[in-house]
Amino acid sequence: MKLLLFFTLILLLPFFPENALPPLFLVLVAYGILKGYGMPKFILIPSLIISIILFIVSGKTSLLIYPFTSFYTGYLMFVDTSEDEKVWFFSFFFPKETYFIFSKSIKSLKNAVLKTILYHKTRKSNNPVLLLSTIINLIFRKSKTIALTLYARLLQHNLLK
Amino acid sequence: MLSVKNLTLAYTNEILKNISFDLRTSNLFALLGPNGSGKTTLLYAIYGIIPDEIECNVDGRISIFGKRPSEFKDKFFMFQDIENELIGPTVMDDVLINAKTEEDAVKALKEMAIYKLRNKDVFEISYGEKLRTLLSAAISSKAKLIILDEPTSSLDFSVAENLFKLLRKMSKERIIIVSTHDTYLAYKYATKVGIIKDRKILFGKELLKKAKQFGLRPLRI
Repeated sequence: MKLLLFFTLILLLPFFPENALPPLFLVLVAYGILKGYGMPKFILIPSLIISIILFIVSGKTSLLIYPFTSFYTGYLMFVDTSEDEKVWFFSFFFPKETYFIFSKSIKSLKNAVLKTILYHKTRKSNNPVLLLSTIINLIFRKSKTIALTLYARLLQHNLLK
Repeated sequence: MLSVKNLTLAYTNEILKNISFDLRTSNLFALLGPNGSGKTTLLYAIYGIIPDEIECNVDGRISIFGKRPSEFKDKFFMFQDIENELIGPTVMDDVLINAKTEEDAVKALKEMAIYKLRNKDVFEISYGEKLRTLLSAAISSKAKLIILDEPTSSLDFSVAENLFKLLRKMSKERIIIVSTHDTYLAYKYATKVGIIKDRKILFGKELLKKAKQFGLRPLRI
């Protein structure tokens, strides 16, 4: 059954030509399914809702598959797999070294978010809206740094010419 | 009064062992020690971040005006890594989170020479300006216990000295603990000096004259 699903997904690849990433994500999803990784509801439900909304709004099939597969890939990469497998997933797209930078950046982002929550508590700021906006701002700023670091690293590897 | 009795702090290995000291109102206590000596860990324990927020084995007793750190609320902590500590949205809004009154906030912003930035977004100001915003929040909070973890590390000398002068003035009505690497400012302005060495704290300003022995910057008066 899993094998059948895998090949079905592979056969679907040519139907997503607008963007190169969804098909690649799809392969990873297929890999996750074949390896028997589950899909927790907290990932499945929101990503399906986002996918459907995007599909209805845009009518693009790639937008139907993109949020679902990227959330699932993210889940596989950072939650439910061994370090070796995470490296394998990532090196599907990029050099291994890039994975380590990315992984460290995500951990540092997580620490920064936890620290922000602690700082808000310590300063006795009981405004959840301010806390949320600070965290969003933090993620945005940190993501820019992560993206720039990765971009520089990919340039080093001559992957972006 | 702040009282620390036989305090031992350990993560996987022991950081501080059997520390005891008392601080009264009107104390500006400067805590010194090389990097990794346990200054921040001790400050976290006094404030109550350890063990409430960060896991750490705590043995011994800390009492702040007769209460345990987690029960004592009239306090302010400024972290070493201030980059994500600002809440905003503007500099003035941020200071007002902790200020007793708006007048106190304005006064503190003027004392820290950032009053003209009061309407700026806290994410658009420089690191030094962020630091001064937090210091304004600390000053205007008028808390009974103020703890500042290395506040002068990225300040130029004149601003750092002004800060110590101000802290000395403020300490008349409260307890202020400052961790620092600045031996000169500690020597000149602190009323009490503690140096962490081999998991113990040694007390006395005169020790700063032998600062190099403790892994600190030599004192130049």
